[in-house]
Amino acid sequence: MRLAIVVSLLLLTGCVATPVAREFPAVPAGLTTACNVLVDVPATDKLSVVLATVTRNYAQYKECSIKVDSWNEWYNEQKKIFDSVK
Amino acid sequence: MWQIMWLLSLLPDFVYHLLLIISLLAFGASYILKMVPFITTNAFVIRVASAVLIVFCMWMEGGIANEAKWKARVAELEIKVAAAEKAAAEANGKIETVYVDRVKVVKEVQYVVQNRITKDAAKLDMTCKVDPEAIEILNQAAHAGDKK
Repeated sequence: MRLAIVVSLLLLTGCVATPVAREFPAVPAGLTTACNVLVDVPATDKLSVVLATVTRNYAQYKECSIKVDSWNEWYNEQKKIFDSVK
Repeated sequence: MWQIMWLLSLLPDFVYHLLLIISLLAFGASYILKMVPFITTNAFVIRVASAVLIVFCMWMEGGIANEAKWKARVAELEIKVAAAEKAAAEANGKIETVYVDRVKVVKEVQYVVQNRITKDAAKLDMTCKVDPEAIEILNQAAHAGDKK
């Protein structure tokens, strides 16, 4: 029994871990910033002021939408590359 | 247990190859060379010792072959990982360029729109007066789902 344990332990020494370090891919700096908060329309009765604020908010939404699209693209691309290493 | 393996790994591989050949020769000699007095008198001891040595050397040979196989696999993976890291960096560059370009287009369009509003402000404000409630509704909608 003792001999079997010793032999088993000796055989286990053959199981040496050989790790290959992989670095987590960096994220483009532009994508790491948070989306801006929508701007409030100031108290006014002028349509031009309302319109300016609303279109500004549209632009902010567009920027944020592009950021989300880029994140999705980044993830898909990096996953494809990560999975290719086998 | 790894200390034992570490100690054994300090010896170069050829030592185990040599030991295996010697132990095989000694094992055979214990049967064949009966005319040599030393071998004849110690045949049993030589046989047992060489058999133990053969088993040990065979085990070490297996370990050496296995290690060589894993080292080759690690080297292959390291090349693949380096290529993947390069590809990841290139993909990042492309994604960042596309992102910057698209945001630039949004800002340019926004600039044009703002200019148009400024230009047509008088006309817009003349024909329409905004109710304060409309502004309140707009602002409320803008903050729906905000972090508290």
